[in-house]
Amino acid sequence: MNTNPRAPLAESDLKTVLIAGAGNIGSGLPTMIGRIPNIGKVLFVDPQVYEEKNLRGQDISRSDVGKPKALVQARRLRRVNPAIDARAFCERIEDLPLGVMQVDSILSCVDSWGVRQYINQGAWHLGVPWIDAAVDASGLLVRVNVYLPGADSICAECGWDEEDYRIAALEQPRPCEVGGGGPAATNAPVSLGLIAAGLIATECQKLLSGDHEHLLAGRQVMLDLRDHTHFVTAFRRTHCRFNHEIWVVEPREASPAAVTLGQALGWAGNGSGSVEGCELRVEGQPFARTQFCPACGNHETIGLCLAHRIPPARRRCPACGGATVVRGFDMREAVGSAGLDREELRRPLSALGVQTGDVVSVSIHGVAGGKHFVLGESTSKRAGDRRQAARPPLSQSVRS
Amino acid sequence: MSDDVFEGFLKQQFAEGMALASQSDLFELLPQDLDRYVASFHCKGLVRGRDGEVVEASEFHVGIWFPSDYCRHADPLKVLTWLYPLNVWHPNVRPPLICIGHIMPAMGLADLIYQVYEIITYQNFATHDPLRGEVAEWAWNRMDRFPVDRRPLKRRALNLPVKNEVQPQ
Repeated sequence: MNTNPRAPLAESDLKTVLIAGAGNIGSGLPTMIGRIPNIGKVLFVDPQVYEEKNLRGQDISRSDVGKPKALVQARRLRRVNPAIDARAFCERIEDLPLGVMQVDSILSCVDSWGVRQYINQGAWHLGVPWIDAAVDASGLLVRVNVYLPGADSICAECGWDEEDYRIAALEQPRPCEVGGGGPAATNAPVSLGLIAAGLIATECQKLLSGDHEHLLAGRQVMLDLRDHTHFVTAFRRTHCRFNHEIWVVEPREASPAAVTLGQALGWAGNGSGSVEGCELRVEGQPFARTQFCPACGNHETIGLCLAHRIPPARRRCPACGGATVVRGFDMREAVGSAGLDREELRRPLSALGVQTGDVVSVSIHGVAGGKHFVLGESTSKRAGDRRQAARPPLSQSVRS
Repeated sequence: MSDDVFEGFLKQQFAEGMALASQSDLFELLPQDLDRYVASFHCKGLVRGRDGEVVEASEFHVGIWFPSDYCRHADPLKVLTWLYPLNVWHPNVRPPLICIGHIMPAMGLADLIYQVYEIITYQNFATHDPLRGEVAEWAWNRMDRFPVDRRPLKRRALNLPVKNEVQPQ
């Protein structure tokens, strides 16, 4: 343990945080997070690019326009503190392997209820504390919540009612408006975002330094800047729709290319090697065996794979060349040993689309509980683990 | 990996869905599992034949799937799949997509079936923001033709008052 406050922290003491969203709130965080002493690694996640219209409400400069938000903020953080390993993921957080969220804390700066719901679920399953902030420009309101996963803890959905679920559903694009939907722009001034960022950074510092006594766990602070008041609200857990499962996620060094489907199914068993009755799922990634061509109506058998990870080159109809889709009705959340032949059991997980950092869950059909494994090196592993960090990052990510 | 809330929801949907099917002459419900159904409708709807003519048809299949997070998050692209026929003629249907509007999390199976029925029979269709603009335009010019089937999905009990008429002596 390091007792000298002037001495540099040992690598093992350094923490990793993930910042989701680099807009009104998230764009103000790097300058604050970069000055928290025990942070060694920061992952920025945002699929968007800065636009001209963002100059008014986000803490950016004109030269940032046209650049990926995550990349801009990762570079900015490095300027503030070059010792921090800053990485950018220019993707939706839902599209990243869940293992990326295995960090010391997630700082949520998103404006979408659906994304917030996804972060809540992932953070809870992985047992990762997360801090969430939001602003309301019309009421000059800023709020921050801290969630510590635990058996009796409050999650973000514990306080949701029908209306909250309705709002989240309205964000979801209808089939008639694919490409549309999404949350309404907050149009908040940068001042509100920076206050929210400050609240996040303050709670983050408490969390990472172990000051749980003063942490806002399970509660919310709301600042009403119009009337200069603040409210502290504690939530109760009554009939939450989320199952609140906290998983024990075991790391497996093997890459998805080195593990067959049969071997992974065998992890569910008692070590006898039998896969009978075992089933496997990859969190957030349904399986499919067929594709459908909307243009000509052709069904193509493609072999077992993850529906959202089919390579673009294979998403073409062999009959007419049109773009194919996997129909919702053809998706399966789990694949069971009963429906697999020997050849499929011998296929490596990578051939199904499983990636490094994915959380693979295996269980025995009809038996409660299961086992969870994160495969290969997870990019978000602890900041001090240079041996891990030296490996190549995830292929789909952009490193600053 | 159990979720008591979701399992309870699925059992309730199965019971309510099958009860509705038993009270309808216009659709059958074919459960593939507790979370997956094919709803087979025998009401009137429209298809476009090979000659381009729009004609009535009376068999339509829609797949319904409840993903495990359905009570919290409903993705309409996953929940509903248009299965048959592929030459269906409707502004809200472009196989495999069918748009009934936003689906609220935990929306019941019976509600989904009612809404799909209203789409098939043109009791409900989009005139703006449709999946198929050309069909919406076609429908806009023939509003007097709709709905193509006015029968209620659920069979109604026929309660006719029966009186014993006494013949005058």
